Amino acid sequence: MVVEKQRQFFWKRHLLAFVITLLIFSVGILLGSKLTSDRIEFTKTDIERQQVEYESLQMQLLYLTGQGGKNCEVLLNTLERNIYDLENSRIKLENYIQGQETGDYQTIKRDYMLTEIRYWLLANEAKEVCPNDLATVLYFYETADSCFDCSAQGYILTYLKSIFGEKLLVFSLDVNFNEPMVQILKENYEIEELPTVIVGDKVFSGLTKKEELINELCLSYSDASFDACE
Amino acid sequence: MAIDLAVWVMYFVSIYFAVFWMTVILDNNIKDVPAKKSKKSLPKVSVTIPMFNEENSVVGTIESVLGLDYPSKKLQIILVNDCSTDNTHKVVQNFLKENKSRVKDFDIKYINHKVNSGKGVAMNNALKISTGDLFVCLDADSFVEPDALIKIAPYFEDENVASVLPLMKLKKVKGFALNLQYVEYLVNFFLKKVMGLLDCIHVTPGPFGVYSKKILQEVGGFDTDNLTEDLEMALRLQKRNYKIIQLIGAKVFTLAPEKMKGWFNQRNRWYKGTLINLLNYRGMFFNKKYGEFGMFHLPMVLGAAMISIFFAFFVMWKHMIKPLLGKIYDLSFINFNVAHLSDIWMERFSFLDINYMILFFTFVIFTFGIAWVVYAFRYTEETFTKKGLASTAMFMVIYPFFLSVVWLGVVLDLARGKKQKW
Repeated sequence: MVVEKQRQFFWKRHLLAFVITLLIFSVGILLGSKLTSDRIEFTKTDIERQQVEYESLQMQLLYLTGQGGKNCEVLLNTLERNIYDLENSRIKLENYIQGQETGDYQTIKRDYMLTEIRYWLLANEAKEVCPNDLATVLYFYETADSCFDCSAQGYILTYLKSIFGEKLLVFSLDVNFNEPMVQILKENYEIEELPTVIVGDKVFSGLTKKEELINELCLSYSDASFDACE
Repeated sequence: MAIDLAVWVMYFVSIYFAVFWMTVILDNNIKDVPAKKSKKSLPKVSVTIPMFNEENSVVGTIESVLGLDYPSKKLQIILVNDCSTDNTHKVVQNFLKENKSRVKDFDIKYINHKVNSGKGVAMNNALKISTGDLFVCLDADSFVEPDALIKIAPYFEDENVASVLPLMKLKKVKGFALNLQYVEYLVNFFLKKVMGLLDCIHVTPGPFGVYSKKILQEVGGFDTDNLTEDLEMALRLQKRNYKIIQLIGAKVFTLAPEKMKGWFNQRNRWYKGTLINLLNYRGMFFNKKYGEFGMFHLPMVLGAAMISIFFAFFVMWKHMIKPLLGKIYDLSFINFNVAHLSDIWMERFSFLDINYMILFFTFVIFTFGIAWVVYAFRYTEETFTKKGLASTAMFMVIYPFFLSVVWLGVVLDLARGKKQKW
């Protein structure tokens, strides 16, 4: 036997629940898009600042070139600080980008990549002009999942920075990024494997342990008075 | 991309379920609606205690039935020993011998199965010899409160009422697994009570589930080959538009697995049974004939299961386990010397790094969770102790993961089971 009765479906309640859920959800989505736009705004302002800094440094270098290596202190300090800032901003940006392939982010990232290269060129020039004891690391990576070891290599480089501090300049380049200048460098250094770390002129392919890099860096310093070098 | 979309759908659906049931709580009377007063005398009741290896608890179970605040002339007690391999038989016989004077007023029957035939068969055999108007199943690890039956019986005045269920609580709460289950039972039975308000109960649990015998016989008794025959029975009753009522005033206490593994195994069986039975009753899904139960409730039960499975596979793996393993791998190259990097990390940090959208959704889900627990405590008249607070906090963090792991196990078992058949 089946009891004959009209069973109720509470569609009004469902409608109400749907509207409330939609409201809650909209608040979440709004917060999300606000967050994205805040982040884009923040990184945009940041990269603009970096570019002004760069111009200032370029001018300093131009001036100092005629001075025969005098008064280089300020230039070298500012250079190191700016490169460090730039690296931090780049890492931040890459965290923001994760899972959000918006066009805005791509443009900003391109700016970052170009600025990294500009600074790298400037640093090379500055090292010619000013007497210094700076080591340069060029780091090729990609953000895609296919580079399993890239993030570990990133940690190792941060660790090196924490050891060598202002004596170490790190420049990171995403080789998968569609920027011709990056491709030129990639070909120039014959990058085949990722991650690749270049210390001075020496190329380390694949994940390179911190001990190996510390050794190489210690060799490159004329005054290797770091604890890690002993 | 498709997975991202699925994650959003999952969030939306989860919040929708929470909002929907919250609206039901807010504009309904949650307390038990008293049954209509009747001049008819109390119905005769057959309480069946199916037993399989319950030597430790069965005496307590029988005692609780003897202690029922109900005329003993109107109580039949049917003990079914389903071929226990322990001393259940001896324990029961001794108990009956030693308490002869106490049990003589009751009509006590004892069925001793020669082969183990399962709970469904045990119940059906009891049903055959039962003389009551009401038929009760009382698992031999459960203990009924004295006033439960007298509170339940009057509801059967309504001939469409097939089953009335008491609130189930844990007999003892000691140790990690039981503390979590303590909150689980409170929350789930409160949920069942609320679902009952919309005629949406899909399981009539073994501990003191009371049935109208007439209806039980008419629908053909219990399924004898089912992982969760109590769930199948409820679905069958719902399909015939019978009423199932959940009370919170009548209580039964039950023993639960004391170890995490036991808890996991029990839930594995329950959920596997749920999934199989839902598939068997798929014709009720989105079927207007069954109102709220078919249009929303059953799809929700299956949906919640799917969310759990999805959560296990994607969210837990992609957003928790994989990044965590990745971090451990990465940090191993700097000998986990995190302190060394903390200065640099501090310099890198800005408030924009916090994903406040995710924070918001987490906050919303937790708020609903907490509100639900608070209501559950209030309406089941459970006092909120410090210990209860700690259990609740643990429960809210651990339970989603626990459920996911259970569902994952169910899916793997079913996948493996299929292969074995081939």
